[in-house]
Amino acid sequence: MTNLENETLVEMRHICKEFGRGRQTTVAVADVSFAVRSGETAVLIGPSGSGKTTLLTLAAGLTSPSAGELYLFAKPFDAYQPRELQKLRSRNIGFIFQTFRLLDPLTVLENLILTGKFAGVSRVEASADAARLLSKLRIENLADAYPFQLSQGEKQRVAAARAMINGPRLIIADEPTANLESKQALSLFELLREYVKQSRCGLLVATHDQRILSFADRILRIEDGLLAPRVSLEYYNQAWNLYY
Amino acid sequence: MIRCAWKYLRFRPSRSLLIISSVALCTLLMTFLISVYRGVSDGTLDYILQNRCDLWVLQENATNIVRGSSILPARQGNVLSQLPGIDSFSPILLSLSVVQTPASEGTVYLVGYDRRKPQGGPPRVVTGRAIEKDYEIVLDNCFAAKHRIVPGDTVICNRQKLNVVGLSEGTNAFVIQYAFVTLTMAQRLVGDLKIVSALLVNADETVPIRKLSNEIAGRIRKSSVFTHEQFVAANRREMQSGFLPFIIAVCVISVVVLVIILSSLLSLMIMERRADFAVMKTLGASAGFLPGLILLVASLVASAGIAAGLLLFAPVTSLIRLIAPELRTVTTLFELALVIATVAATCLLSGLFPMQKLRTIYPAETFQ
Repeated sequence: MTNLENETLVEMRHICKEFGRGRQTTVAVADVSFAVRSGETAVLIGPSGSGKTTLLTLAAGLTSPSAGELYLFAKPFDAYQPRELQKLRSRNIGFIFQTFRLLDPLTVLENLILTGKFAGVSRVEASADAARLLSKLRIENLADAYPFQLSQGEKQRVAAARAMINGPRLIIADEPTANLESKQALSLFELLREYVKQSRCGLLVATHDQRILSFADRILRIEDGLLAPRVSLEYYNQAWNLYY
Repeated sequence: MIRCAWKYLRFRPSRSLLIISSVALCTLLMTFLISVYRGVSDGTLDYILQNRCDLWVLQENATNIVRGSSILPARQGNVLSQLPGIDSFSPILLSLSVVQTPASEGTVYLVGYDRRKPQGGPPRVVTGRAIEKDYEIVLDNCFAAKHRIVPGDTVICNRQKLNVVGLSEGTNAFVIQYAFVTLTMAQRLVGDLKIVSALLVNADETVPIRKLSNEIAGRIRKSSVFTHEQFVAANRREMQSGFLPFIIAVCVISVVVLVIILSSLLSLMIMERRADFAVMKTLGASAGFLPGLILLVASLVASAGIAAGLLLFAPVTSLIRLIAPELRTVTTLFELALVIATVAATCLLSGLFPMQKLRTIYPAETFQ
């Protein structure tokens, strides 16, 4: 029986990811080991091109590692069939992207319903879930709006709602506050943090944003594809200005 | 998924309208061409079908009257009248003649027939009456409409004044229309030659047709004898060989053009919404979802386009008939279903080509 309190959602052991072949080979991630557990907020920080996004795609099962062991929900990555990975993403992982990536031709409600349907939920059920979630996030008035009609802050709240609609065990967020003002960024993270606490899901965030480090249970600094030794939040807060 | 497909189609209304218009025009064009073909086919064969007889006797090597000529000496009728087993026979003389009115002129397929005989006349006289004597003519009603001729008018044919006494139907072969005069008038118009084009024979019920056919072929030198069915089939073949390849070629070209336009526009839609499709893949859309979405978009386009094309058919045909009254269209349910099936299949086929592009969309793109 799985212990939900300490369930390991993603585990990487000596993961290496290379792109290209021969002389054109680029090492995006080299010998990275870390894990994300349920109820935990892990924040990946590092400069652009350091390998943060590659780690997120690995954690989402969207790319395979070149070397090392990758476990997604306690099962080796290699043991998954493509169809199982698709189901894994639709049912167990929620995504928040840097540029929102909401589907413009669909309304807010339809964006949520479609994600629910990908998870195998019926339209009626997905519709009820979406309405409930929008109400909970206090954006029920946006249900019939199209993404291009929304402000940046509203878009990001909708993106967060979409990440939560399938009741994920892990939320992966790529620079979720990059386009938000301070107040909006903090509001979004309070929302995500509350959801993580309530649902005991894991949250893996890649960011440049120092403002959200205070929400992290664990900070992982990556540079040139390598993870730096584990250090305290205070260290990062002091060192931040040296980097950025 | 239908709602999703509809939303994606509606998101770019002008482009969607363009795609649907392409399908509508293709449907309209195909329906129109096939209807014209059916109209021409019916019009061309109507005269033969309506003049049902047991045997058609023509000049040797003549197989049809659609695109061929036949000349027999008129005295061959005497041979037939001496043959046992013949109930009646009707001579006809076919020739191309120019009919002139004060305002215009047009070529007709002039049929001379003996009105005392059972066959050879117009299938249906819809206005006025049939000819009763020389110097009278019955014109095809489409020809009459085109040249603004009404019963009571006088037309000139080979310097002879002819009184228009009636208008006929089922005598419009699109490229040419039939006109009817007496046999003696027709012979006078070709230079007082005692010739006929064909003899339409009705046999006694007691005589086997095949036997009679062989007997006629043996008695009339250099003649071809056909049963009615053989003659209809030969004329139909001749008409199809001249017209059908053109119809098929235009339909094939329109289908190819539709595939190219539709594939290009659907590919454009996929590339434009590439990010959306990558997001859907990341969010866990099943392997069949995106291809299904594209096929649904193609199906919606097909449905809307076909409906629009069929709705436009009646007004567009009426409009064309104002310009070309000789144009006759006949639409059958089978041919309508054939057009719908062809256009729908074309649309779905057009959806298959852009679908290849979906394979080049990677979910990881969403993180770029």
